Amino acid sequence: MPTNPSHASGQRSRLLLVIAISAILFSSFAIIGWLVHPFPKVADLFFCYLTLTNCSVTLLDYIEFRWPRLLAINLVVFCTWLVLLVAAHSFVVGVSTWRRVLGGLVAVLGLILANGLVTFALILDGLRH
Amino acid sequence: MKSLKLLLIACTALLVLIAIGDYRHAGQVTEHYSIDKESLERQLLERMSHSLDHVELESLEVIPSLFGDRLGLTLKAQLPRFSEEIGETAWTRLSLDLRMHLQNRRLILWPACLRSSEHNLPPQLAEDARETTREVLRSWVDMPLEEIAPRGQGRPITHIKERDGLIHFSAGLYWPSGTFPNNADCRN
Repeated sequence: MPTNPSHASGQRSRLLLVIAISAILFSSFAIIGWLVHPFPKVADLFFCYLTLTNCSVTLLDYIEFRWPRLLAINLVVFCTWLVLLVAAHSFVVGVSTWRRVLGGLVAVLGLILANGLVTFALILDGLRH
Repeated sequence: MKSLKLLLIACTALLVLIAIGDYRHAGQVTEHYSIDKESLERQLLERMSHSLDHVELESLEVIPSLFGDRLGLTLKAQLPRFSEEIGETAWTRLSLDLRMHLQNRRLILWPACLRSSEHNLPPQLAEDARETTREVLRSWVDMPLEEIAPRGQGRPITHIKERDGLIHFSAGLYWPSGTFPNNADCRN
């Protein structure tokens, strides 16, 4: 099937926009998290934001030592990221404008909300110690 | 189709990252301890003797399996109250599975189930022998363990193994079973 060059380039630029905005938001929140709560390793900070594990934070310690809790958190994290991915996908390849707008809004606001909640937990934990 | 493939790749990458996060988390929350086998046997013998009324422990040996969360225990005990009745030293030999738990800087051990038992009591005293076995199964001991970190509280031991005369055990991620002493037959 022939591909419209302008359509393809539009998709590519929107994909790059998604990657850039996600990277900026993710790293901005992560920097705040790093400042309010020192992590032993950068990798811990990365996984804390991405999968809610490796946080070593009182507020996020509800994962505890039990497999069922850890797997429940895994499921929540996977579903959250899936919603954000599908939204970003709609923004990139959406056939109608309203799908792109809605997808873009959900992706950006969802990322801000998800990362914001983790950062908020880290700030609260920082204040407690 | 191409974009859908990209979405699938992103989901797979996400699953891989979640798995790596879990692996790192499991490593971070797992605590490792070790105790000298002879010292453990000595302490067990002493503390179990204190908690048993009708049994005099003669010898005891712990047998860790290669992989597992239980500690094998064989013990030989004298039953003084029957010795006169049968005209010789009454004894029983039990093979048990012990479970271990970390609680408030203490290591708690209790028999989880019975693997095998034998005794030299005559058939008419078999019920008394069974009651003696039940008494041993109901017992539990706790021992202080200096090196237990504050985090190691109220958690079951998930791995036990023996190496170089030491019992190595660790407490990591676990499935809550909700069965504290069950005192059942190990074969059930």
